[in-house]
Amino acid sequence: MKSAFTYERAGSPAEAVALLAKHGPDAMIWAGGTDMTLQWQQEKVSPTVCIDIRDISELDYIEIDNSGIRIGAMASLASLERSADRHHILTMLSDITKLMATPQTRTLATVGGNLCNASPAADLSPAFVALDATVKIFSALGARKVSMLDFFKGVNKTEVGPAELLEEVFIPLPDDGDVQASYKRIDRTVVDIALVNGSAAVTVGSDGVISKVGLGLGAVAPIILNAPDASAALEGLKLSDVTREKLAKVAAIAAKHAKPITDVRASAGYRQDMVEIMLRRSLEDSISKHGGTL
Amino acid sequence: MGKQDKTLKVIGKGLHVKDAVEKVTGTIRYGVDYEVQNMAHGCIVRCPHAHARITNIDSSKAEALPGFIGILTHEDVPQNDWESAWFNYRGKVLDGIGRFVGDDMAAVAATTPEIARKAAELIEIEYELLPAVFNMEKARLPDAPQIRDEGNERDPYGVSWGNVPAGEAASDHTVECDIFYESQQYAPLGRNACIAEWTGDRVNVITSSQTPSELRDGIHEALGFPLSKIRVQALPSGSSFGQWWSNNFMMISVLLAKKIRKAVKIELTNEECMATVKRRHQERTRGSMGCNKDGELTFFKFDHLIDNGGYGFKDDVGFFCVDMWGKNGHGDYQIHGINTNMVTAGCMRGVGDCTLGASVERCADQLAEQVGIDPVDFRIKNQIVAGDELRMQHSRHNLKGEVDDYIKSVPEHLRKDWPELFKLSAGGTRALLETGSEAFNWKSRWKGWATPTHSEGSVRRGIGVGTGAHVCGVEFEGASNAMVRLNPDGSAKVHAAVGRQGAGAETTQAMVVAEELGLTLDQVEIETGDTDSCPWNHGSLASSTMYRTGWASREAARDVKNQLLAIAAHEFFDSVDPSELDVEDGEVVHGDPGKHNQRIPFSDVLNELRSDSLGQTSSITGSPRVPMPPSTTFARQFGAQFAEVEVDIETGQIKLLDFICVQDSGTVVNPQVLKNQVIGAAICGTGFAIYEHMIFDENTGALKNGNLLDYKLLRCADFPHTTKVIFVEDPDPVGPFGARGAGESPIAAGISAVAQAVYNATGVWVDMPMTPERVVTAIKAAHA
Ligand SMILES: Cc1cc2nc3c(=O)[nH]c(=O)nc-3n(C[C@H](O)[C@H](O)[C@H](O)COP(=O)(O)OP(=O)(O)OC[C@H]3O[C@@H](n4cnc5c(N)ncnc54)[C@H](O)[C@@H]3O)c2cc1C
Repeated sequence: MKSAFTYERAGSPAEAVALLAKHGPDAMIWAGGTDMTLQWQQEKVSPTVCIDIRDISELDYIEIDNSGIRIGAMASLASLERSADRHHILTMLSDITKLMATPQTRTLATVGGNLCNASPAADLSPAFVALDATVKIFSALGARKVSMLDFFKGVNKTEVGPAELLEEVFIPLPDDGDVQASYKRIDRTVVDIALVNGSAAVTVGSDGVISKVGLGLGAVAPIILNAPDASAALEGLKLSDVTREKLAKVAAIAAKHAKPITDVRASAGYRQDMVEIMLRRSLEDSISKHGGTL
Repeated sequence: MGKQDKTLKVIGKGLHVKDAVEKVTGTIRYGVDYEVQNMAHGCIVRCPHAHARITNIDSSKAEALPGFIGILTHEDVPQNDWESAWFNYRGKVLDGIGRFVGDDMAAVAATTPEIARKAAELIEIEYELLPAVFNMEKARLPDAPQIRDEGNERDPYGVSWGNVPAGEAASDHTVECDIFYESQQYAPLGRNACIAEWTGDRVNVITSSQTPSELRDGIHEALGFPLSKIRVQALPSGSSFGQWWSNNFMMISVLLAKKIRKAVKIELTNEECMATVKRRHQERTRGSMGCNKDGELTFFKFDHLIDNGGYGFKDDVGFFCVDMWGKNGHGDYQIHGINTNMVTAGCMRGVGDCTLGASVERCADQLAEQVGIDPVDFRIKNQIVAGDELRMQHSRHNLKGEVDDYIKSVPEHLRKDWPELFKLSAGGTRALLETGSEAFNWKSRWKGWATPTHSEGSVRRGIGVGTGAHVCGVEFEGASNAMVRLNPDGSAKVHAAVGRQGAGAETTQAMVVAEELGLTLDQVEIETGDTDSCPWNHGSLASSTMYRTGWASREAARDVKNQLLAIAAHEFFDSVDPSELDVEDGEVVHGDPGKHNQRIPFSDVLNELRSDSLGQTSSITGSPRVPMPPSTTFARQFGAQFAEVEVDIETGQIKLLDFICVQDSGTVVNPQVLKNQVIGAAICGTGFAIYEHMIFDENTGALKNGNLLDYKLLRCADFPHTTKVIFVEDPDPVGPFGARGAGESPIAAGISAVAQAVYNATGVWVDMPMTPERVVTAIKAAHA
């Protein structure tokens, strides 16, 4: 049977973590509630207390400065979608949100909720991993920083402890040159979750040399994966020397990290083949955005 | 009859559907929305095994739950078989045997839905496990576990004509096929619920159903008591496609309410709707087809299996998709219905057309490619047009004897206006293909078989055409009736038990009556669900609603009109012959205003009726006074659709780029309603072609994707918003104002169009559904 729960409302991060501490491990944060509603209905979670954090407007922001882009946990997918004009990385993230859910759901759903739900097939996470993002986690003891890669601990499991709150995602921007990123997924209908996905972020310095490559592989393991060996194979190359063949090789190295499973949505074999194609296409796209010719 | 002589005032207008405002504002009430006072809530206890017999039921834990009211088990249930329309279900309400995972085993009632669900979980049932079989081929074997007393396989059912060996000998090209089709789910967006309430020994049943009369028949069979004591009030079902006819959970509701002596509502969850009620059959076509060097078909030979699941009992699927190619003189078509330990399968929109029909289309395409003819020309060459012979399935159902016997039993004078039977009365695909290929610019877009229209990187585009045909209802299970009542104020009410499944029948039936009676649509209302006021009707199924019920509604209106004119002639027009009078804008008028220029409102005529010796009633009721000709023998509807797809040959993803639907449903009664039918069908058919399939656990037969996340339905945005619907109207000699059927030919046409377009884009035929993974696998296999 669905759990009965009491409803609490927090007005600040401090209040939220205090309520979490007070009510113990069966208390849960309720942000947009788009995952929570379903999981509660399907009895996948059985909270005894729900702490509604929609009043915490101080966590609803998207800010840009020289060091990077900060996205508050309470920024909705819809506001991320609307931020496209503010930075080319936000354009790319905005394009991702357009693939996600429906306009109604995007209005409610938050970026923080998407990350904390920790679905291996979620759409933002691979891009954040590729972009080498970090998150800020708040607790009574203060804030701590965790890399996006380390944030995910398993299906629906994250670094966020029982009396902690996710506050912010930070995407660093390079001191020198620029970063371009891309994300590709296999889906079926317009409302679907990714059968498999892949993302790439490529930084090219002012000298025209690729200084940093980030990769994110989704829906091929319980958590989002990266592929440092594949990234290294591209780093140090001049943008003008990059070829399609080179990118195909890099994607193939990266795809070796995948450990896909077979389920009703797709077979392991298909996921294995497709993650390579998604990565290759993301790489090609990032290189093209830099003006590279392939 | 043919073309209408009088200008039509209502028919042909794109009037708003009657329930548009209710729907848009969310005030329409479906089965789940309804409540009656003091009702209890029921929940079904479901079988966790594929095949098992109950040895013991312990309800003590549930009984201890506060709010528990009662339990219904097989021991409380009359052991009568009941049948749903077209043998979509045959079995007992509960008999202590579970035949699939999720089967109904018992039901509990409690004060709230939550307690009922909890109580159902607490019922402890011990089972003796029985061997199970999930594969139709295995279920046919002599030593297969037997799922039903009648055996797993129905008698084969077929149609043969000409001499197949002679046809084979005359063939220059032959193709063979062996194609498996997975089950499609109705995937309703709305759920269903059933309320049963007993008053003394009468029961009132409130539920969403497309077939109110059949539901009442089912309850009568299951309980074994008089039809007069059963009232069904069928509510709108929303898109149903064959799912909500009469379903076993409705029978359970009736018996549970009886047992606990209290009204009860059983409301199904989404998961129950998808996994425990009904689905399209899994099907398999094996066969061959040939043609001569000119591309004229020489023979057909098809052996087709359908899997009925636990309680389906069908032995046939539409033969019309075969007969559409009926210019060839030799054929043999056999169907085998087979039970398996999976959820019951039954009719879903375009039954047979979407599967067997798609097999025939694929074989035809392969022959056309061998001969080197384009698919439009090949269809025009081989498909029937008005006047061509129809070979029909002979009835083995409720109609006694064969159709020929029925025909002979109708007195000669009542048959004199009938069209020639066993010949297509109107329509055909030719005009559709010609109109459609022009609108699609087919001739210049066609680049040849297996040749993409555009190729760039991993993207290939291809075009395709497909056709579909279906009957316009069938007479085998009984003639659909309707009644029309003219009220004292001159407004009219139609009583036609066709349900409301979103297809617009509540509007189009009323339009037919409005036209016949010279009223506006607003002056005609309709009761579609109450079996206490509606005569027996087959319901909205087999594309019969406009054709067969529409015919009955018009005949009933004609009867009302005749009675009205007779009274008016006597009372207001100096006893002229009533045939000199007519109706117009709610008034009776003389055909020649020079003779009589008065206009008498219907209400005046009816008022005369009240106060006059002519009758003791203040309203007029009308019914059809002549038998309807057996329309299976001559009436068909046709669809042709053209599609362009884009296939990513690396990932297997298919995008739909362009779609044109051309439809021949005779006279278009309401273009908006028909457009909605045709586009809805094209989307549903395309969904079946590329995504939709039920995935069953190979060890238990349980449904693994019984939710709308993993059962992929096309959304509006997946379908080209530029899709055009074009009507070709060849009026029917019998249908109301020349209308024919509509719902099922357009679902079939799109499936084959998309399949062929994918072939032309990629050079491989992919079995359905053509999911990304299957497309990639098929391409790889072809290149290996
Ligand atoms: C129809 C539909 C389609 C969807 N399609 C997609 C899709 O295409 N791609 C995709 O990635 N997702 C999709 N989703 C999932 C969903 O919308 C997202 O995961 C959403 O972003 C979750 O945000 P929320 O605010 O609604 O989270 P909630 O449901 O409120 O919370 C989700 C989880 O995160 C926890 N949580 C939330 N915020 C915080 C916080 N600040 N700190 C700590 N814990 C927190 C909650 O306790 C809960 O466990 C879809 C959902 C629906 C209903």
